[in-house]
Amino acid sequence: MTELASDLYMLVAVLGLALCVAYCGQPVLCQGAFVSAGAFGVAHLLGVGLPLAAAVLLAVAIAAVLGGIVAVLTIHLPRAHVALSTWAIAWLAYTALQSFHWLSNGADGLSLPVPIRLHSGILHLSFTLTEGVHLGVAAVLCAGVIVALARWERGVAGLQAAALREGPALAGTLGVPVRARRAVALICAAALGGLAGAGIALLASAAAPADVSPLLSLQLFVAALIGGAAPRVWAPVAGWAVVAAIPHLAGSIAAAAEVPAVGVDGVLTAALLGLVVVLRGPVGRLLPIVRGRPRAASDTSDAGAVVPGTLVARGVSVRLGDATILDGVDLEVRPGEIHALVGANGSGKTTLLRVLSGTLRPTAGQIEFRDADITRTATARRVRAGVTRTFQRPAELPSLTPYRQVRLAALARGRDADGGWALELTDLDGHADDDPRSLTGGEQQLLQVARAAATGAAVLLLDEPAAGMSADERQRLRVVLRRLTERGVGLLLVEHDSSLVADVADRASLLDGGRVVAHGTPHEVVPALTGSGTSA
Amino acid sequence: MTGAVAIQTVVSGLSTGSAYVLIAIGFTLLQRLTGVIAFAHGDLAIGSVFVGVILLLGSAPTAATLGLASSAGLAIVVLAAGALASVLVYLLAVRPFVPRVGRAARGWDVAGWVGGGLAAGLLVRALLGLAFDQDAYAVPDPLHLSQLNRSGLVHLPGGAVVTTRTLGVLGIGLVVGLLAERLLVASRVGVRMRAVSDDATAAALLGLPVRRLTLLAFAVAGALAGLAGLLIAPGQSISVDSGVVLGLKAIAGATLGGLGSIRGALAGGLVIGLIEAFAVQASFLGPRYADVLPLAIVVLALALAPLRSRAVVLE
Amino acid sequence: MSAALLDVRDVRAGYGGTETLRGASLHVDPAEIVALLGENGAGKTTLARVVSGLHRARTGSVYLAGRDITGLAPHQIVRHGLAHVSAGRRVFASLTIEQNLTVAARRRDRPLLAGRLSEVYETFPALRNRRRLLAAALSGGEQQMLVIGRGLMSAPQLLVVDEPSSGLAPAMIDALAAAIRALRDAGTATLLIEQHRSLAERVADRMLSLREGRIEPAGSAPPS
Repeated sequence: MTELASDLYMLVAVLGLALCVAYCGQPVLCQGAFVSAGAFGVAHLLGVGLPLAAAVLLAVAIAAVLGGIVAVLTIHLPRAHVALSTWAIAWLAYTALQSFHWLSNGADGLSLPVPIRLHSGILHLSFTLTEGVHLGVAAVLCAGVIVALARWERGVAGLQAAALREGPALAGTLGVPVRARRAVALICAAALGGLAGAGIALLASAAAPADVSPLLSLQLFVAALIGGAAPRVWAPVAGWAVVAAIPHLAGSIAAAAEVPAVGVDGVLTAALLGLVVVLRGPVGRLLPIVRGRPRAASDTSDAGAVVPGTLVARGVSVRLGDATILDGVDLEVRPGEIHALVGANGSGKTTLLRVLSGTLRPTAGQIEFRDADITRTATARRVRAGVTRTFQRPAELPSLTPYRQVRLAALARGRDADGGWALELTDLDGHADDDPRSLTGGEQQLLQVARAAATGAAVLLLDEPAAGMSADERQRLRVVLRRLTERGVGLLLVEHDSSLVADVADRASLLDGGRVVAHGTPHEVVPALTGSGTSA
Repeated sequence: MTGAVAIQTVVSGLSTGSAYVLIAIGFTLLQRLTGVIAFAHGDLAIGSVFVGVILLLGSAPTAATLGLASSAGLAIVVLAAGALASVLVYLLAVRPFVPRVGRAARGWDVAGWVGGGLAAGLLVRALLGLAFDQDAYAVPDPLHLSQLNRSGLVHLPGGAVVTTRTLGVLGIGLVVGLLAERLLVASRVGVRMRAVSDDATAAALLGLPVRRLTLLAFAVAGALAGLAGLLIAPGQSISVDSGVVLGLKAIAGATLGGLGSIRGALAGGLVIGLIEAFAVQASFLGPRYADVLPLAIVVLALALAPLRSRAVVLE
Repeated sequence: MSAALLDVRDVRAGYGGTETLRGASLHVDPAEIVALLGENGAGKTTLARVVSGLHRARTGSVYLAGRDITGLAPHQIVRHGLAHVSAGRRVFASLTIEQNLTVAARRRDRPLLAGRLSEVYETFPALRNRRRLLAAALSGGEQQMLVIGRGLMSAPQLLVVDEPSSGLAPAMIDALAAAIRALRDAGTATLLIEQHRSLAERVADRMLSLREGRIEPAGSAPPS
């Protein structure tokens, strides 16, 4: 019974970690450190005479604060560095516990007062925490977290998590505040880890460094990773069921083979981790995608109404090292107009898009939108203000149907905003609940435009939307662009297809070597492009 | 701290640091060439020493002096085990998760190779843990660094005294580290490896054997790690788990050096050795900080690394 | 067996669910300059990648000098006499100009190295003066010269060049055109992949266009 209660407590830590690993795609390897913060926290706090409830709450708070610190240190890093940093944190916590006696009483660990009693002066309650009580508490905690996670996953937050996991760069352009979401996930994970640690320490009446070694962090990571390719709330539960069986199995094998159990434990964990990373891709592809629609929007009558706005770049320069990528670029995208940006590869078009959409801060110059300076505004806030971009290669969200993708983007306008109109606008409404991977390349490009439009942005920055399109699809794109301008949307169109530019653009700018070298109607500017600068 | 103690601390710090340098150089070489972080690299350093021990001395080593034949045998086995294990880690835990040359970056599976590297390191520790289950082992020194002179001590100017072993480790570590750095810059193979790390697709289109060069780099990095293990292990009591922190200390050095610069890894590894030595000596810190401080440096250096690039990325 | 140097037969290829090449065929004769035109995203680069072994064709085959090279690795195809200069001026930034040129030389080609090096320097004199500089320090046009020169170091029978004129100043394009013609006169064929006609019209013996995944003669009509 003790073991079951202990495993259930640890499941709470796994579910918390799943928020980071399976939902947000952050490889966090230090959940064991948060568990130890809860365990040693509650041991110390009870030791100084705090009542049980206060000690547990405070220990959880300590773990959450540590989670916040780890978030500050890691949310801005690429995934590989997150893994490395949190792995170092796991060992840092373990080493600190072993080295500092005041923290942990060395390898022996801390003992908790026995028996532990819960008193409530108000309710005149007093009872002892027996194994049975622990089992009940752990079961209720698990059930609560599972229900909360399942609700959260089905709701709009689940959509945002899919974007965070499958396309972090894309998530920002759809109005998801990437860093804030990652930080919240990590803090929740740490708090749940702390809660699990406190529960286990109370259950065992002890907290020892050996119980929270980095091997525990790895095992929790494996459990959370199982099913990470297509997270469902049952996946981490199943994962922990497998991982929790390892020590028992290791014990039997070790006894039979007369070898140290800890070694067998490690071998089995390593084998399981290897198996999981090899299989998660193929298994994830086999899982059916979710086609359900999150709670329907309350009102669709003013769907996609746009508040027009003008985007202005003034003297924008970008220098990287000694290279000047952009040099004093002036540009204006007005409501209801298509402004084409043309130029050879390497002329700075992509960099300008990054500056305008907020992923790169210019070295000089400023960006204004509706007469407000947004040069230092982060991508997600820029999207909610009304400026977003698309990518040259269709950035896929393979686990979300087209309807769910535009619904996700519409969240930038408000929790109840619906994006269905954007699918109609791009003639994709017939594919609303299809598997996104079944769309043709051209349809995926149109879906990108639909997503960007669904954010309700007044200015769309389109990066080569016609790339890879057939002649028919190009014709569809022309219609879509026209519909967008009729709604009052301003478009910056980065495009190589000179006939498309000549056809739809109201104005054009030619970029060369990071400068705008020509500006005017498409017919004035485009011949300069097709000639590659020669007089021929 | 007196002058003599300060000199002793500097020398012993540089000595430990020079062993970190060997691991950090290998780690950086692999990171530049393939873009992956070699999570198991520290485990290779300690693991290959234990492999050598179990093959030649059995599972209960003592710090007894080895004869010439077993010394040479142990050194060769350890270096070979490091190289072989490193190549195996590449083939089994890295290559399945990184795109083949010329493929777009969409095949890049970070969780895959991170998990693969961690699993490889854990497997090394756990398998060796089956044979070596105690917390501390004394490993004989096949290089006989403490027996270079009779007393085993060297008197430095200023009254400082360091062990001969310290100087020996410093000498070997620095010479091999500098040699490796020079070879990677100037030799034909080094130039080819740099071409592959700059642009593997372009290198393949010119006919460079990218796969063979990558295997070679993993073998060299593994052998360097094995040598680092040979330098470090006999000086202290080690367990099979010591490799992780050792690897993370070397990564701390590589991160201080800017992650991706071989020369930076050289300097960074020495700096970590010095920091560790001074932390142990300092009255307000003490030996407890010998591991804690380098681990904290990894975390902080990684957190601050993006600030070094001049363009500020907003999100 | 045809006498063509390069013979691409009915190649289908693509990425994931999309098929960019839907039965593309073309041939290049010895010492001939063939230009392949097409819009961005039409599949020109995919074709080049199939020819040089970076991308696997789903069906169809590629012959070089009568030998079937379909499915061979890039470094094997180089040895059969093909050099693919990919788009985007991918120089080895941390190597010097001369290291960029010599890095791929094989041991048995070493006696020929000095001769080939001086040929490349003759074709692109701007590189000779800077041969000890790091490639990262070159201008865009010079980097383009460098990657073409680097491809020539294996003395290929066929040079496949992807978008060489992209982003080059007019004077640089003139130099490039002269260089490609000089190569033809020395016996090297070129498959020139371009989005814009200007360079192609000046050097090509034949112009093809890639549209909807198939290849057709481009003639003199302006591309749509």
